Amino acid sequence: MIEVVAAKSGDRTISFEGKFLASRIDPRAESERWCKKYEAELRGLRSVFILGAGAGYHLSQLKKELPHLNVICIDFSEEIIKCVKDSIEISLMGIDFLCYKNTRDLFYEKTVQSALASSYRVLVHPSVHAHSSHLAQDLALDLNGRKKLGFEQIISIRKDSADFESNTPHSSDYYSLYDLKEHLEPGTYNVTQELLK
Amino acid sequence: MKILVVSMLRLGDLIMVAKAVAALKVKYPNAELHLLTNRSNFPIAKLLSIFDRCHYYDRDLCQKSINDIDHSVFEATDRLEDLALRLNKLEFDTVINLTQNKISAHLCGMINAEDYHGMVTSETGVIHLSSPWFRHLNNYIAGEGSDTFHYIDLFSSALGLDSAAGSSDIFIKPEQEININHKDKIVIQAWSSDKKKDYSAENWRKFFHHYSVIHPGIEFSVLSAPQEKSQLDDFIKAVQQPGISIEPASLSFAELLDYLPQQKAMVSVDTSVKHFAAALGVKTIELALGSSDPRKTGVYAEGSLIIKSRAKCAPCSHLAPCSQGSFVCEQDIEPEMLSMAVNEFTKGNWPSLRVLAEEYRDQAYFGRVGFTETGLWYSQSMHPVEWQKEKETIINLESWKFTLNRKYLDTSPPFNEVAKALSPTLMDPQSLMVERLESVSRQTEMHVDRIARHIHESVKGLASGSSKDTQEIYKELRRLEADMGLGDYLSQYLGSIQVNGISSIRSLREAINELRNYQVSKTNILRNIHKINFEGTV
Repeated sequence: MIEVVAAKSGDRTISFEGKFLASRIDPRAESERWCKKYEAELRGLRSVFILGAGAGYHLSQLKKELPHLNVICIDFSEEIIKCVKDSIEISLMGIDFLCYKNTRDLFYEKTVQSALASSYRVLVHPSVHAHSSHLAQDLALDLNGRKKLGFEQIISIRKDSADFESNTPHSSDYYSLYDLKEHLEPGTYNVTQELLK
Repeated sequence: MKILVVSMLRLGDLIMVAKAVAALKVKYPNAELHLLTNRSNFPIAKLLSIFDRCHYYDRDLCQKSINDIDHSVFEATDRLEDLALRLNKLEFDTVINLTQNKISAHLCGMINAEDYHGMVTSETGVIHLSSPWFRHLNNYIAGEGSDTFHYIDLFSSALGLDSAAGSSDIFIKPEQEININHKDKIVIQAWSSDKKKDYSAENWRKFFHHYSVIHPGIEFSVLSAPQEKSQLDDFIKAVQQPGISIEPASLSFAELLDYLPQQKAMVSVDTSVKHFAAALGVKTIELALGSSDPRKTGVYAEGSLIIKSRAKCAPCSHLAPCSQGSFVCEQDIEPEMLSMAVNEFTKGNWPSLRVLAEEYRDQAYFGRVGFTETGLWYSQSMHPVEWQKEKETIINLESWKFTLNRKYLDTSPPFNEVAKALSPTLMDPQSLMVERLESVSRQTEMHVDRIARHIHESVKGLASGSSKDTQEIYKELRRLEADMGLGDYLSQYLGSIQVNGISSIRSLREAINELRNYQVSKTNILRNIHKINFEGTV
């Protein structure tokens, strides 16, 4: 069951199955603190995936601070997305919302493919821990290319979007740049070697 | 014209790069000079007046993202590509990479330009070194060769710029005036980012004590970066003594611009602050400990003093931990000796420093920084015999400079000009010394020539498929080297070339040819020095 309630600050907040998706005291101030934490790291990137719509304040705040950043919000409940869009009085302009069904389908979404083709970051918003914690952690690993499915998908997306050489992927579950040498151009591998020092 | 200068190492390296390229502004007054450096170098980069614009690469973030599963496995390379895209929009004419590592070479390879200097990786992953100077740095100096150029000299020479010895001010005018009660302090930079290069708090405590006995009333200040304030407070507690004024000075580089020039002198371990002070014209004493190698990164200002340990293991590798049970190089620098040295140095009393150097000659090296007429940095030992040896090194370096600048290709190579320029520095070298050096050089020249011809024949054999494999050629080379009594002379120059194929044999051949040209130049330069000294005619 989803409910929209007034926080102490006067802003609206959302409760989902009895758990709050944003602060009951001041959701706006809470979202500002959250964004501040990542702002520097996100600067210069093209896209960010936010797993968890929460009450939407963090999405709006991020877009306000970094207007050039392509923000994609993925949540695991249609109900939450609808509630954020309809009931919270904030601007969500330029933010793409996607509802997660399964990882394979998600990788076929045009917005996701376009974001994965260039620089991006995946952030797990604390609100997902209230309902889909494990799913979100798994999805983050896939989107980060740290699991086999995600890694293969990203390689394939990048191969299509550029002339990217891909070989047979490694069979382990998690990937680091050590595994990338087979997949990257020789020059790029030099970079990874240097960075790994 | 737009020029991008790339310096992706640390703060001290960036200051050295700035000194080296300062002459670019003079050579190309209308050029727009950009700098690309690590974000962590921002505190210095923003103070450099010679660059019109600075760009930053977040190396720390990229390194963090590589193995952190909360980051995309592609983030590091994506960020690099984004940076290259942004830089390409600025349409540079020239890219100058003064960082000898793969990541900078790769990044420079992604930036479009007409002209490249320094290490650059091509699209196929092949590394190009655009000039003999950068090849020399890669093959020899980075491989711990004994005749080593100071990095500032190497960079400015590689770019065909005038010597950086007298280069103008590289910093902006200070914006922040520091409210200081007392000027004329002895400023101490007590620690660095590497424990091996540090002088312990206990030694500094004794230093303050001894100095105050020799020079009652003298005042000290100890520097730290603002973020190191608590470390500085602990340090002050450890060294504080009744009746001695030791002031903590937790200052940013912007504040140091105003603060340092007002002080009497600076005593520093090997850090960026040492380069900063020297560039500001502050009288500086460098304490070279651990991996610190003044030949490459020593304080770059005429009349500075370098004190280093005579421990056999020094300078050690930058990356390896100390190989000794305790820091023996630090123990060699006795606080009492250091306090006397600083006292004489501040008075400009070089004869007394010479006496002190003689007294402590078994444990410490005292060197006075100077520049040759051609602008090469050197450290002059206070010990006369050692200085004679150092003169040999200066002749070697001038000969290398002559070779790497391809002066020997001139219709009439100007050997006598170099010899003349060296005369004031060499100050009447003993006749026997020059004669001996010339004779050794001529003999070595013949040996190298023989080896070069041998290698040439082997490569021809390899190409026609008639002769041995590459490993055998290398072994033969080593045997010849031993037979001719050359010691590790060739290995020093050729050791960094991995012999595993025809291309490396070609590199070997090129390196030996370079060595042959060097040897010929050196013999001729020595012959001209000889003439100047003993015949008075050239």
